[in-house]
Amino acid sequence: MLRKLLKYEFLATARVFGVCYLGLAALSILAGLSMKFPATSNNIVGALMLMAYVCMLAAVMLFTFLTIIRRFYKNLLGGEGYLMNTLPVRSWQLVTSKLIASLAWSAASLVMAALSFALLTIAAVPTFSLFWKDLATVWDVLTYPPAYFELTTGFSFWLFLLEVLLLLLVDGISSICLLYTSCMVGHQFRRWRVAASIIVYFLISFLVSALLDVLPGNASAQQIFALADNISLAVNIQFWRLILVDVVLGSIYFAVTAYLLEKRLNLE
Amino acid sequence: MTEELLCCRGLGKQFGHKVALAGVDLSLGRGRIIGLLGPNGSGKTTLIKLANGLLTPTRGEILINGEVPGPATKAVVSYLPDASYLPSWMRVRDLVNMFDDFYADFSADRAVEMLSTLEISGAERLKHLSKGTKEKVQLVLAMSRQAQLYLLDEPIGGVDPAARDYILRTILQNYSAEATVLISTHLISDIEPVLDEAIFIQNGHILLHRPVDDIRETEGKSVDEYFREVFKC
Amino acid sequence: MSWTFDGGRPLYTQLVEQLKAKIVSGEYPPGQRIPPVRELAAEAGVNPNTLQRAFSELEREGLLHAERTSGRFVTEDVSLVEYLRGEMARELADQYLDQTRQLGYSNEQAVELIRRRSEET
Repeated sequence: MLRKLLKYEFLATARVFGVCYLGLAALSILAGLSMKFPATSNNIVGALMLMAYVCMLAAVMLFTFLTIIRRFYKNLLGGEGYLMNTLPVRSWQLVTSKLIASLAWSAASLVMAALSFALLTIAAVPTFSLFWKDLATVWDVLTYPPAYFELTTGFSFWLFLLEVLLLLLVDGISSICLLYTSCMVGHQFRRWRVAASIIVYFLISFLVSALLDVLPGNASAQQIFALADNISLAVNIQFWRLILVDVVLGSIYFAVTAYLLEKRLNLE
Repeated sequence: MTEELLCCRGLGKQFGHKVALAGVDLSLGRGRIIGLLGPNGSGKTTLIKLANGLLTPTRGEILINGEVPGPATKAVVSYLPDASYLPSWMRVRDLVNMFDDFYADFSADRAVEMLSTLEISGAERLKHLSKGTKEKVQLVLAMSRQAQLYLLDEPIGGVDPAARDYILRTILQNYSAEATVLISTHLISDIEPVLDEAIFIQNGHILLHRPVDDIRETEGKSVDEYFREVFKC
Repeated sequence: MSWTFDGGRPLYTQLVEQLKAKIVSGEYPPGQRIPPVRELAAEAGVNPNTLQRAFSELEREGLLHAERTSGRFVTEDVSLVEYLRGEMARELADQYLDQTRQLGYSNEQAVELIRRRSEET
């Protein structure tokens, strides 16, 4: 069932995102190309195109964020809710399908952002021969950090990268689930549901951050560097603390969302 | 398979101060075509939504096959809402595939056959169809299932008389002794010959639940006429 | 198929009457196979259970009989159909005499009227 839900979720969103990404790619190439013009100090067209590109980039990020919310709110709690909530599926399956799709589109948008920047850079390179030379430089630059990192901090770059990615993932999950929880809690009110959802979102965010501050194990950057001899362990602990917090929060948000959707639904 | 298909015990639903359903007790058997008859705002849609798990009871309970509304009951209940509820970007054939995907008792062949009889193209997107055609699509999807309980909320309200006949004929052709069809409507004279039983509902209260022939015999008038008498302003 | 129903009487009764009329008129001749309940109900636009009750009543009276595998048939007993025809005609006659009497006619006047009208048409 979950696979089927995912299929229709992607079917519903693929076209729109495809158009967005295509537009972004096109704009990034144009911006890059326009920067190739005689490198005069006042290349207005180039500057404008660059600005347009940045705006487009921001718009795509915003669009991704809004779509994540809209897919949940409109499809499960709006008119289409009559269809989705009468399908013979469990509510956690509905929530999971939305969550997975949202994560996929978030990741895709980030990748697209990086890709578009790469496209812009490639398009902006003055001549082709220089391009290959630049590419070699780029490669050197990219491979430098891991080595440098290990030298200065003394622990594995790849472990660090893994922790960062894992944190991004669980943070993404818990953030999205918080959005869903806010929607479901707001749905419990009879009127002003959207306003209630927004207020709930900020309320929970505030409460959680306040709670985390008093939570044990929270070390400031200074405290970390004070433990100079075992800095690797300290940083690792911080990472895993954050990951754990996100896992716990994410699970709570998910459970509350699924429960409210299954037992406290009131579609009008 | 229990004898009683749908059961309400002290079922109540309140929206803030407004009481939509007040302590309803109801029992629906199998193999019947039942009319849920009442004026607008009497609680018909609320009752149907509760049976589908789209609303949570304020008190009491509603059971289908002895179970609380959930995936198991949704698999055997076919719902036709009053409003437009399907994603408008989807094509008709996408919807047929979707219902086929999710419902084991859905017959895609039957749906395609009905759509072609009604001259509705599978390639059209819902948003390009007229309101009446959209309603027909919704009806075809609901009736192409071999469900145990059909909950049709105002199925004949917005369609032309020819389509109305087609709808009623489809309901009759679909009839099975294991299944029950609950039709909620205020257009009684059209569906009266088709009904086994009639339920009168007003202001969230069930006024009566009797076999149609019983009403005709005892009151000496059609259910439609009796309804007007009972509900006259 | 011509089926008309009036509101104030049970549908089941009306179905029995109309089925009998069809048998007597020859629309459903002796030995003819009757369509299954669901099909006929859909065609006539009536509830299948009600139609089934009507069928059962006619079976009880011997006008229809059901073969388990091949379906439902009108009786081959022509004399029974004749008897029914007579019954229904008798009822019409009684109704006629009753109604004309209410208008003030005597039975003789009513019969005379029939004779005259039958010669004209």
